[in-house]
Amino acid sequence: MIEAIAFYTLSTVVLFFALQVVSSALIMRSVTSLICTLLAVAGLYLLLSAELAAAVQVLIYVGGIVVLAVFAVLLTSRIGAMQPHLSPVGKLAGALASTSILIITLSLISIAPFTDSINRLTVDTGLHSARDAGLALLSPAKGGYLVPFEMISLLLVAALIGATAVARFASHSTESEQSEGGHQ
Amino acid sequence: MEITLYHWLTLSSFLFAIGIYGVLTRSNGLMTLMSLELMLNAAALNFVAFNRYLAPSAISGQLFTVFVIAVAAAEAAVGFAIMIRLYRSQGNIELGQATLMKN
Repeated sequence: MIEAIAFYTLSTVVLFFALQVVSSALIMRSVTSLICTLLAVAGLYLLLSAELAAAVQVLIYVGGIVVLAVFAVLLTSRIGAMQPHLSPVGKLAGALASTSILIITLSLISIAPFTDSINRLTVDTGLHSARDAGLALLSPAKGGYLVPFEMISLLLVAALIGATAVARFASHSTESEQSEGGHQ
Repeated sequence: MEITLYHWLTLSSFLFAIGIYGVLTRSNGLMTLMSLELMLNAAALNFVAFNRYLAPSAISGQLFTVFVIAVAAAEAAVGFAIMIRLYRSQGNIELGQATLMKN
């Protein structure tokens, strides 16, 4: 019962703020709504007894990605600047496309052959601690995740170096480009 | 009133559809990236839900969620850097106006 209440409350929060993210005209409000959405999703992870995923969500998403987003917003748009409104036709087309995808996924879910035994929550065996996750990440044996872990580390290093390169090298040619392109 | 796997899948498909709506309707590059984060979150939520319901003794779903979040961090870093670069070269981040390589 408590679980159901928590699930419905958190889902309402998630969906409300997600709609707020995509529909708000103020970009800063979108970012703050994104923070609320991500925190509520972290709560849902806790409800699924996935403490590690919840912690990583709060640390990396809310603490890292959203901070990056705030920096990008502050560097690229004026506070309080309204986003240009899309034409009603464009909005309708977007709504139509997303609704049809929603209908497709929902109908696929409804015919999915999940048996009742699977659908019931089994007793948590308590193998969800961060220690087990760390051991699984570092084990080269079958069922371990050593290779994906190393690959993700390489990917992160490459992406972060690339991101700094893209954002930094731009500053050498900024002045000439801004004078011709910035004040149109 | 029991929360089943269907509830979780329904919730994540709603979240995914909202993200698709954002990607399709917003012309601002940052908004598109943020809607992408919503869609990634929907997928990650599915991983954790399947982990909890289908194989509660395994930890694979959670680890895949961690991988998804790490890839999202890489994607966000590169994406936001490109947006900043785009802003410096064309003065705004409207995706429809980024035609520098076309002309």
